[in-house]
Amino acid sequence: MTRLLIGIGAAALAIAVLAMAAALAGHSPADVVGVLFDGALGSPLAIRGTILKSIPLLLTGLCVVIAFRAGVWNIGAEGQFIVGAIAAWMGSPYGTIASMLAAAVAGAVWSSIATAMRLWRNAPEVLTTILLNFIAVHILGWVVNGPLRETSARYPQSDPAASALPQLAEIHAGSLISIATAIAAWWLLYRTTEGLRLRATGLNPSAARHAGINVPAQIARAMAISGAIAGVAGGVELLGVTHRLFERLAVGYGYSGIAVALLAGLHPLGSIASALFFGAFVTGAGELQRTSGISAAIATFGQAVVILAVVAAGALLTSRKPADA
Amino acid sequence: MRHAAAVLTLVSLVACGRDEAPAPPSSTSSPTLKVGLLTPGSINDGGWNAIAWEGLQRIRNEMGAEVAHQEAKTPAEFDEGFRSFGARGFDLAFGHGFEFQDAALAAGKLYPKTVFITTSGTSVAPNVSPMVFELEKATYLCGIIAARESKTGKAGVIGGIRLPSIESTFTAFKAGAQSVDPKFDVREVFTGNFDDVGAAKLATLSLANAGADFIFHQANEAGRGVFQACSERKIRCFGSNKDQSGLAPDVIVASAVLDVPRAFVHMANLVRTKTFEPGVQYLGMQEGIVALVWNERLKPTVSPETVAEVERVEKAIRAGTIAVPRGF
Amino acid sequence: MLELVAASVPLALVASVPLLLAVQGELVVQRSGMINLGVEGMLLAAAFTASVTGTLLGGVAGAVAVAAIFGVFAIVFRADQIVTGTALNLLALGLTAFIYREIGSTAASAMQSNVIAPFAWIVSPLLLALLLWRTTTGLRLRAAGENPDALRSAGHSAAAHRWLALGIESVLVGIGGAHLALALSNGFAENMSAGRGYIALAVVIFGRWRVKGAVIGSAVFGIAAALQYALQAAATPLPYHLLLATPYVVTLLILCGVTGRVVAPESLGKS
Repeated sequence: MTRLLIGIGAAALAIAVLAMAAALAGHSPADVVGVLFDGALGSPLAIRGTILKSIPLLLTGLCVVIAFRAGVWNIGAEGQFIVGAIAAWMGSPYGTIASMLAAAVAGAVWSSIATAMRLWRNAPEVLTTILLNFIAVHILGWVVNGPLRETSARYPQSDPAASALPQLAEIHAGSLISIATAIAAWWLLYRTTEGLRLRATGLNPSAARHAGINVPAQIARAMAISGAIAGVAGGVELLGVTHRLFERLAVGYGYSGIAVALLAGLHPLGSIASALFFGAFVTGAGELQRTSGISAAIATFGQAVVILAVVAAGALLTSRKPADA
Repeated sequence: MRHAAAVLTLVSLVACGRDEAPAPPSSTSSPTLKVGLLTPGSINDGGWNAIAWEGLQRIRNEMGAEVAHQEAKTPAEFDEGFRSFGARGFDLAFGHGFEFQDAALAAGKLYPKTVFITTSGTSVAPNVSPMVFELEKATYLCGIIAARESKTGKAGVIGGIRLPSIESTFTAFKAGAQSVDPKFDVREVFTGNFDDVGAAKLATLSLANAGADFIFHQANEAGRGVFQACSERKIRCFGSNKDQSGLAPDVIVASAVLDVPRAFVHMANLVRTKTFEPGVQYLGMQEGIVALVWNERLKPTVSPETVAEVERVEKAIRAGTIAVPRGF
Repeated sequence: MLELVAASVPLALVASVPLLLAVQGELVVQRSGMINLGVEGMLLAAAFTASVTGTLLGGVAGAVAVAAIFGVFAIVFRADQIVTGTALNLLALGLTAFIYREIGSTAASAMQSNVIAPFAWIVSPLLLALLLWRTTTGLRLRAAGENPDALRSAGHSAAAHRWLALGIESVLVGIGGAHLALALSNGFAENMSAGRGYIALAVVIFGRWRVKGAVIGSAVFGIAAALQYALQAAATPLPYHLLLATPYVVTLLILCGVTGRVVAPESLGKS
């Protein structure tokens, strides 16, 4: 209940801050909020845009939920998204399902590099996952300029993938995949002993160890699942929306996933609402730019406000300890 | 052939674009022209996206058009942006890059009354066409200047990302230089993005260490780092896309200027006067869109023979007797 | 190859100043027991304010603003540091881009960098080493990172020492951001920090939370970056994307370490 209130409060705050920023730049706040809503939900086209943007956000959000619940800092959804998309493209000649599996495996492998470094060398995953993001970006740049470049070799992009996700009312099946993933993640976390162990590891690793949980193995599995979900996000985006690989394929869905997960209070089903909110926010911000010329960077700013609001509220409500004297 | 069409359209540009009066009486019945623009990045990049934004502003100011812009970074946004323009009855929508082609073709089918123009590309449909800038003609001339004035026999080119439009200007630069001296050495460096000014500076200094004494860049905002490095090492360089002489007046010899705003106005006029014909729209020196602009302060330091040679080649390019190679 | 390395060193020394200063700032903060992932955002904000004001001090002000928010969340609210830092990076990225769009361009005049580079490579590391290992303040600052409870029972405030650490980081990162905007460039560009803050975090660990390690680590990364440009300029047939990735791969490999497991300050990141 508290988490829901915090979430709604943070979302409202983000809209308020955006309206304020727009007011400072000389636009009418009421108009801005109106345009934002209209651009996100005001027409079938707008709703379609909102849903399409929510799909990758939900998946990267779930990636973050699983990792953070296990107490591992997977900041690498962006890189896992990219390798997932590359693998999905390579798997696409063998059909949609093979392609999705390839994406999941690639994402899991990419995140497991960070796990391996953490378990063997004590290198913190918060950094290795970020470094792996940079490396993934450059690998993508290389493959679309080199081995996977389109056959006409005209542009630095791949040919369209050999298969695509089925479309339903102009919305690709990734919508179903992402919602199914959310339900599966919820089931995993709350209805299985695996989920119980995972959450116990995240809450208190040393207590988990005393309770007989193999903490390193638990972390490794959580990171692999988390990476697999981000990989699927990349695969879904490729087979549903972009169809081709190109250099600027990932535009921060991985980082936005953190905002999605936190706004949802790290709850898988809450992530559906949270992803829809951010999808609408970004889509509305696009409309805002088209009609009022306000920089779309404002959406990035709004995400930051949401995260900070959730974090502050959570910290203030849960910890009644006085601040350090 | 294509130039014949371009010259024809230029006539209409001169006819409509230059005088203050709005459209001729025949089309006064049509309401305000509506023009949309999608850019793949920030319009504050001081380069590629900034000049497109300028073009849109000129369409608004000179033609009284209603304009809209969106930064569209993903294909989902390309699609959404184009459809939004189409659904609102826009007459013209620009997608500023080759990556907008697929989305333009899709939206073109849905909204046959809107004309979709991609900047560079090859995809053509009844209401979808690319406009292709021939900046190569100016960078070819830069190559000639570099080869004639270099003391080391080496020049360097710096790009952000290896996009075809960028690679192509490098190809022409090299061809220009090697038309003077077949052994002239042109080294290429890419930084991987258009943001990292520090990296562009580092890349420039590396080229200077490798012996380059002329630098041409295609790094948008990161070009600031190129000019910083050239000023420090006192090596000469070229501006790109805009007349950039003001940014580093002591080292920029000339700029390969691309009058994108004018090209945008040109296309908008074609659409307004209903003279738009689908097909690749080549825009270059003949159309007044591309030019080599000297930095008047440094021009006297260049040998008169070089200046004369550049003038001669420029005339030949305009007359079509010298063909400048394109990279794609 | 050796010639290329030799030629790259002087370039790297100037180009990696923002990284080096961020590494030193982050080192102090981590020694005090916090992980400030927001150092990337600090650097970007500093570059922005430095280019708007055209001064070093302006850069420091931008870094201070971001560090202050981090401090309130991490020290006062005891909120999660990694999440806070990530949010601050988004905040700085979105806000600088938004304001930059509204005010148009920043035309700052270039700054001579010949003072800042020696400061960053020699003066600042010496001062930090002295502060951290030769003064009681430094001892207590490190105690805030190793054993804050002991520090508290000795009657000293861990919070105060963490704020001090953030203050030092702000000054260093502020200067680094100003150097980025005014010496490496002649004004602001969106996202011009380009990941240097994240690299800084990795270099701190690579340097085993020691000043000497920080300087060596920054030099290794800086030279790797300069060298790959030198290789490109030498017309190496390798694809440039793979060359661009090498500094990150090198950092990753170094992070794995050939010299054993990493030992972090005991209370690092715990609120």
